[in-house]
Amino acid sequence: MIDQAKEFFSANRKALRFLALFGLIFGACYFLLAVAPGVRFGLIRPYTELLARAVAAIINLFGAGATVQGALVSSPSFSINIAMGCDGVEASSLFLAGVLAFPTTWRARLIGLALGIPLIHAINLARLVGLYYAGVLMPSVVDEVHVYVAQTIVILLSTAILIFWLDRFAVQHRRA
Amino acid sequence: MLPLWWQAVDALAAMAAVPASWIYGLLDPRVVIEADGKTINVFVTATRESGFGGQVHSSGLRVDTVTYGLPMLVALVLVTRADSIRAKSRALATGLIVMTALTVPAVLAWAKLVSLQLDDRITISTLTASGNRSDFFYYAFHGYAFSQPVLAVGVWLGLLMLGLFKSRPAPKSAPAPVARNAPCPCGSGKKYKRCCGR
Repeated sequence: MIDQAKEFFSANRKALRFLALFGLIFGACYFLLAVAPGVRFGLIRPYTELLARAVAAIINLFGAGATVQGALVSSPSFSINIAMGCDGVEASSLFLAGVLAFPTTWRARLIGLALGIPLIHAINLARLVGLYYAGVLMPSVVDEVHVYVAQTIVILLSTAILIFWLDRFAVQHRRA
Repeated sequence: MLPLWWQAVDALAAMAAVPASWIYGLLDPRVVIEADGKTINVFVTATRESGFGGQVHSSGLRVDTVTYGLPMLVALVLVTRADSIRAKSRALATGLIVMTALTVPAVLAWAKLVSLQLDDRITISTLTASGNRSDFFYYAFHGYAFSQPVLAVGVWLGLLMLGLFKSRPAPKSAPAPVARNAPCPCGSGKKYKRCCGR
């Protein structure tokens, strides 16, 4: 049994190192950005307010007539409050952990972060706009769409970006 | 996949509540954890010393909110190329076991959160300090238990990296013993006992 465990660890040393680093970096990022009160109130809350203004600006282009108060976007048809979980922190932490944990060059990592993080936040903004229209057009199922569908789509797209980066950038510059 | 998961949520609730109740009972006997359909209810009774003796604080955890990564994981496994159906089935079974097992710590964390909420209520009403540890714990819980898609992707990456989608190589069988007077298998033309078998 102990020999089997030793064999497993020695055969999968690189994979286990990646997975352990991935978990640690994701946990640290998530704790820092979403749980630690200083960052949550000092950085993330102003960011959610910025997101609210961006959502209002986009939906007002199509005549929504929305106003913003803090992180709350109100319109005659529907209102959304941009709270924890709507800020893209989970998706960004996932991507960041994948990029930093993979054994590659810092150049490849910087390219990944420079392209991936803004793209993930753009997708998150599109999700918020989509949720507003889901609330206007399908108010009876907006909760399910919000909890299950929208979050899943953002994480899946973030994973797809991570896989694209692994394939196109990270593996080519992979360290031994 | 989604209807199948929705039908299984009751069973998942029952499966997670039993070990969670047993584990948490060892740590804090004030807490009772019970499954009720798709919800797991946590009851915390205040101690007599707190001045709130007998007061019960309860909260329900909707098990669908901490297991909705399961259908996503199944979908990810099904679309991943595997060497054989057997390898894919093994990866799927491993992933499902890991994700289901991770529901237990989620329930334990919820029980801790409910317990802290009661403690905070007692602290706030008996002291001037406004200690609010449950808020902090809620955000930590949110990241762990409610981020099901992240968990599903993490487990799927683990399955990929550990090679569970690849067929296991057949175990190497030990070479058959060579008779001492037989020709040596190295191809020298000598008898085994005069060559490699010396």
